[in-house]
Amino acid sequence: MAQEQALVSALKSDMNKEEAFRNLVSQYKERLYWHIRNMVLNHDDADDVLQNTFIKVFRNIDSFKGDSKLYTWMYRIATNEAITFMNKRAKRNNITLEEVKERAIENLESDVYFEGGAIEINLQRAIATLPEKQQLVFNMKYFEDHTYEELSEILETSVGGLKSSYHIAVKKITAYLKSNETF
Amino acid sequence: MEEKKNISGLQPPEGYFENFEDRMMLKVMEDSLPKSNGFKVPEDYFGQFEGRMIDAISETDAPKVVSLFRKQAFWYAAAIAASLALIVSLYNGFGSELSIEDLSASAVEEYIDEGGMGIDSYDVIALLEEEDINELTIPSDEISEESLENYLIENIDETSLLIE
Repeated sequence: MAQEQALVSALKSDMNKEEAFRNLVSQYKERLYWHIRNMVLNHDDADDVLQNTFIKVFRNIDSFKGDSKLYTWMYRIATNEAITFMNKRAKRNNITLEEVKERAIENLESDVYFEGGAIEINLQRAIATLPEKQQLVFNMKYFEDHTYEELSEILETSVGGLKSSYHIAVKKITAYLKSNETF
Repeated sequence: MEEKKNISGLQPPEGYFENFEDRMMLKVMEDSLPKSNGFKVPEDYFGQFEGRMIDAISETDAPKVVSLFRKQAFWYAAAIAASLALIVSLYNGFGSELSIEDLSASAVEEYIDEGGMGIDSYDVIALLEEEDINELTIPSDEISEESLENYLIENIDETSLLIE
C-alpha cells in the first residue's frame, strides 16, 4: 500500500513522472492486457485499448483521490475503455454489441495470435451467451484468477452476489458446451 | 446412520460444510472446462510495451502546432466560393437563372463531407471567428434524438466522464 502511494505521488509530481509511469506500465501491463483481451478477443484491438487505458491513467492521475486502490481504478478504466471500444465498433458498423462479439469469435479461427481449437472457440461462444456483467465475472475469476474480494472492489458488487453470479455463469457455460458436444 | 463424532480435536473453519455440495459441484464443472483461452501475443510484445507507451505519451503531450499564418484562410474561402459556384453551374446548367440559394444546405454539406473540397469540417471551423461560432443557432427540433445519441457515442469520451 505504501509502495502504491509512493508510485501515485511520483506520478503526480513533475519530477520522475516518466520513470514512475514506466514503473506503473511495467507492473500492470500484463494483467490489464489479459483483462482487455478477454473482452475484445483480438490482439490488435486489445493493444489499442490497453494503450488508451494507460494514456487515460496518465492524463487523469491528478483526479485519482485514493478512495479506491490504484489497480481497482485502473481495472475500471480498462473495462470501460474496452466497452466503449466495442460500442463504437457496433455503432460504426450499424450492428449490435452481440454481433460485434460474434464477429470477433468468427475471426478467431484465422487469427495468428490464437492457438486454440474448436473447444476454445466454443468456450468463447458459450461466454458470449452470458449477460455482460456475468461475462466479466467469469473471465476475471476463471482466467484472470482474481479473488472474490478483488472482484468486489473492482465491480462494486457484494462478494455474495459475485459468488452466485460466477456459479450461474459456470453452470450455463458447462450446459452450453455439453449441448454443443465439445467435451 | 450414526453421525460420526470429531474425536481428533481438529476443527474445520466455521461454515465449512455449509453449501459443500454446491462448492463441490462448481469445482467439478470448472474442471471440465478448457484450461486456456488459446490467446497468445506477438513475440516480445510485453518487453517492448513500456517503450511504446512512453513514445505514445510524449506524442499526445506534444503541444499542437497552431499556424499564425492566417493567409491560408483566404485560399480556403476562395476555394469554397469557387467550388460552390462550380457546383451551382454543374447542377443547373450554364446560363440558368438559379443562384447559390437554390442549392440545398445538405447537398453542400454532403459535398464537403465527402472530401469534394479537399478540406474537412475542422478547416471550415478554423475559418470562423469566435463570434461566428457563438452566433450559430440550431433549432433543437432539427436534431433527432437518434442523431444526438449517435453523436454522443462517437464523440464523447465516457471514461473521462467516469473519471471526473
